[in-house]
Amino acid sequence: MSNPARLRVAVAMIVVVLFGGWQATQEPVAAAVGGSADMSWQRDLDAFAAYLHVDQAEALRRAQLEEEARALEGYLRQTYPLTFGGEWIDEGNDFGLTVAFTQPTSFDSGDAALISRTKTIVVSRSVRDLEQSGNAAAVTVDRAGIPADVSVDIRNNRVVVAVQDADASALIAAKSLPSDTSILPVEALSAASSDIYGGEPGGGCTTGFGIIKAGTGQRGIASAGHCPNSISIGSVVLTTQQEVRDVYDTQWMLPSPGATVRNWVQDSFTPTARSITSRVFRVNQTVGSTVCHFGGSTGYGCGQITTNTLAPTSCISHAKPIYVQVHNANGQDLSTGGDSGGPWFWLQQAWGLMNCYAGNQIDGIYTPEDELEISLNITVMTAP
Amino acid sequence: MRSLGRVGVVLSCWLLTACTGPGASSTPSFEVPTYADVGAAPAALITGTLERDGACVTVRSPSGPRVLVWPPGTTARLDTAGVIVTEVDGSQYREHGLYAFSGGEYTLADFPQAIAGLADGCRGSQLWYVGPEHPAASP
Repeated sequence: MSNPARLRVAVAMIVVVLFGGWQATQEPVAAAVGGSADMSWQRDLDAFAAYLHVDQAEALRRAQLEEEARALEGYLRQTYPLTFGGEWIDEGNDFGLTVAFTQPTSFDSGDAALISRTKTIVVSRSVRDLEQSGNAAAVTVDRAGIPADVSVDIRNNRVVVAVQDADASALIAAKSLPSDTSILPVEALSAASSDIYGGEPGGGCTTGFGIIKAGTGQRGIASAGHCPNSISIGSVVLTTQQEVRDVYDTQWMLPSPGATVRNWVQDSFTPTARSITSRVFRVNQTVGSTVCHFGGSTGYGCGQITTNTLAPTSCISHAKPIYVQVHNANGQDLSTGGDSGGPWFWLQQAWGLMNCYAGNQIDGIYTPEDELEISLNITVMTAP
Repeated sequence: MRSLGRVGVVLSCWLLTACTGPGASSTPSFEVPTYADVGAAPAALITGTLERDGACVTVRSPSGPRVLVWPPGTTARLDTAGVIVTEVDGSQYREHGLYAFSGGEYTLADFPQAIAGLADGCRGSQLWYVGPEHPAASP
């Protein structure tokens, strides 16, 4: 069987598996966001049709062409490794495929529908050469200590090194990059995408709840005012935006770009964290109630409220009598150095934010949820 | 004249006793700032080396130096290796040593208690309220 023929068979098999309802024997994959795995391809098709502004039948036809185009690229890379200059799809008004080589090349894509929509061009550099240049450029900027995003721009047959404006002129002057490389000044480079939420230890404290700042809608993390103004949690850096001392001991912090603030708190039981879906105010935090916390030093612990009218002035200079003290009758340490800023919660309710350990060095003292919000004009997140 | 002589003898003896009696130290004392009351304390943690910047005893961490404000009864002295700070419970901290302190970060304006013994040159610095609880995990 010739290669193009094998290719047609392979593509047909892929299409049947994806869209023909061929019942495989594997277990369905549990969908992360609900719904059955069988409907996942339907969701993708719906999104594709909406994106193209076409009906489902047309979306399916185009999806099949894209599938064939992807299979063709694999074949061309393997068959013409030194001269293949890349391939790209243009949806536009109709499906279009461009295939590039470094010299005129005839090939059989094996599919009439695909052939009629394929344009072949000649370019200067092969994909192999561009990828090698891209690797060399990445090594160069890395050795120079210049943050950069390096990529191969297949459509324009070039390597692009994106750097921040301040670094661009230095890089151009150095002339240390391969000749087929373009330098692109940008405002911001790619950033790590990370979740940030309550109960994460860092900077000698523990993150509090995800919050929304009134007025600006900015999403950040609450913490204790006496915690540092810059805290690193993995690759995320939290920076203080507002701090209130004297009567309160609270602050909120903004994460570095790319981080996503969540309405979660770590509690060491669930694989990642539990969701916070409601808030409980001080007036409803009755003496004797059970409430739990997670701290970077003491971990997960629970106790009973002994008072909700405490004014811990040895810890917070002009504290009003609105603080809550929690005691564990078994003597479990509920607060020590490193726990400040951490969340107090019950089930999926936000109850407060850790500030102090009590004089007995085992009780925890926290700012109740509503006072936290009042102090900083924020709202604790109760939804994604 | 005799009474003056007796006074002189008594005074001399007293002075000698003060210089050579038990508990006397030949190492100069050094003042560290302390707060008055041990009660509720902030529950953050800082890890760094104990250093002396002039009259200020600081903890030097990656986030910068903080002047340490100690629990009541804390004393300090200098020896050949530098300053040694001793808390009421006998815990000792030596210059250049690596330690973890519970407590929290304050300025003079928002420190929750009166501070005794804070040298003028240390007043503009970031302060670290040293909590009475010693962290379980020391560096």
